[in-house]
Amino acid sequence: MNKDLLLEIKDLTVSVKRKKEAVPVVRGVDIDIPRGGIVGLVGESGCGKSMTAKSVNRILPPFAETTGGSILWHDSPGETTDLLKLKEKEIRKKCGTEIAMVFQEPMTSLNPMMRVGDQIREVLKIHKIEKDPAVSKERVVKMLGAVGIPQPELRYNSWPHELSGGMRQRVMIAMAMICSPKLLIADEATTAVDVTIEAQILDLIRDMCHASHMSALVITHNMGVVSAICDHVYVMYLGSIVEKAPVRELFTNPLHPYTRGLLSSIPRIGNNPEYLETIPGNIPVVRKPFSGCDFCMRCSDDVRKCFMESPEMREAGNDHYVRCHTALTGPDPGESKGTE
Amino acid sequence: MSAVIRRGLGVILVLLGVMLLIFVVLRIIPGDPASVLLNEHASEDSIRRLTESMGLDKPLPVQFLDYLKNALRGDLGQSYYMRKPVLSLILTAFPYTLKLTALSASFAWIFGILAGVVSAVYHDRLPDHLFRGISLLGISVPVFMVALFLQYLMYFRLSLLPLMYDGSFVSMILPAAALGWNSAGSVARLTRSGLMEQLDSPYLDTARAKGLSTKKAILFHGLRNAILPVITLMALQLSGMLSGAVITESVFGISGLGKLALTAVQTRDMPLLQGTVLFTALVISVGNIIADVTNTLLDPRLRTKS
Repeated sequence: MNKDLLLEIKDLTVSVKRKKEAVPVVRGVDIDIPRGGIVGLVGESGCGKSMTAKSVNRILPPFAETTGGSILWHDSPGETTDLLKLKEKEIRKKCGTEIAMVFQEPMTSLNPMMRVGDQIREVLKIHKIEKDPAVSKERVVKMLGAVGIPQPELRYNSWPHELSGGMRQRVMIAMAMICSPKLLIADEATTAVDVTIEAQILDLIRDMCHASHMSALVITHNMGVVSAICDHVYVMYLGSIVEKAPVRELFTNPLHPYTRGLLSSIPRIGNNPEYLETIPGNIPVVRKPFSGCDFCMRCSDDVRKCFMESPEMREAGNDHYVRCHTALTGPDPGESKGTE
Repeated sequence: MSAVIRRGLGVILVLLGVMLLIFVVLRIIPGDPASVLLNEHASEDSIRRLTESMGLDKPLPVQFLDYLKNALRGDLGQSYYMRKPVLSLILTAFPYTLKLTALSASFAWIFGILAGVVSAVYHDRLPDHLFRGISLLGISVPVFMVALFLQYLMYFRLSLLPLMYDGSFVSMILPAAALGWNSAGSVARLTRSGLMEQLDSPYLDTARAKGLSTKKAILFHGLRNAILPVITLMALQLSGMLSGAVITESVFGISGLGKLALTAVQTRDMPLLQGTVLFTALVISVGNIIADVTNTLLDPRLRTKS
């Protein structure tokens, strides 16, 4: 790999403690984030997207823990640290300064008892970046202006409940950007705001990335968000990556049946308005490791092999990889279960 | 501002109601103050003369209006038993109660909040079980038991602290601990449960993503949100303590408001009883207002609404 990578997630496993057993919810995930690139991570609710993201800055809830793999952070091309091996103190030092995060719920992700400006300034205070309160306040006001909040001096003193959802999400972005981090993790950052605001927030994130050569990991269940800002996409299903490709390649040539299902379930103007494609079935319950392909129960072209062995990630050219037995060869007619 | 005026009018109404109620009740219950004051051998004639001189022969509404008029001028009447103005008796007793309250409240709140925070941070681990056990004891064991136990331990066993209150600061420690124990228990429980509710809040994830450790996030962000109901509880506890701790004051011989009220009941001293009850009502109403005002001041969401 000769690309200039900022973050390499390698074979990451996250388990959730349920009663006495540990259930793996993220299973051997590999994600590469190039310096300055915007990488999308798509999948349905509960597939392990957020768990993957929260492993990076190590804010997993108490019932979950990383049980394997590594998350390599490349400060510069020669300097590498494994974020999972850092001490709690060291990883907190990176959080807010080098790795920032924007969350899904702008309504509850801000502390309702603190003025929004003070919440942003707290980042500077925690990391002892700016001691002079007047200077740090000015810096926060500037940042509020930069994320498109009108009358930033006035808004500095607002309480979270006085702002709309879109404004709060801008505050969250200002908080994330105040130290010019190298990596921004946006965990469903636009899910809770309406579509016009969503477009504005996405533009803002993209502009910020381009302006400061920042990388971003954009987590979403919305293919529209992916096509709007990402360079590279990872599709996640049931805790593992099933397909990865540059964004244009994925949209023009989706290979995995799950990705195809996701793309055809986007409503399009002009198509048959009476009928919307869906993926049949439900997410299977994660329990014991299943030997076959995780998607075989919901797949349209399943063959016997899919029930027998789990597919490997295979290259399909054009930097496009897929974890499927049939995507590259097509279903073997002799093996299809329909012939019996 | 209009809210404050409204609350002030409310207090006045409450006080009028309390005055009327205590006035009527004291005159309904059997027992004639004049015959209580004189001994059982007193003649009919002397009882009648005493009744007249105390103004107890007038019709009840007249008596009440007289009492009201005098009260407005700051005259709560003369204690039958101690033969001193009621107001000055209350004002002499109040500083003792105030001292006891200050000490026991600070003990209760510091210990209570600390224990609550430790319990929440280490929930379901040893420190939590320990503190929860202690605070459960605090809530469920009556004050006089705690008082007697503390006296036994600290005076009879260890000889560390004086048995009774003698005016010194050291002798106030035991009564304050005994009285504060119970409040500390409730504060600890409420702090713990409030913090536990906040633990899954997304803003705590935000705080950690900013670079705060989990403990600091709970302390700086969680506690701020969990403390509101605790403050209401504390204000109510404060007014409760200020209106006199009858049991604690009796056990330790502190001549505060509680003891004064007890004496008034025991000697059927109507003016004194009326006075202490009125004072208690005033303190509790003011305590409630303080609880509301602090909550409004602390919670920005309430502030915008009002």
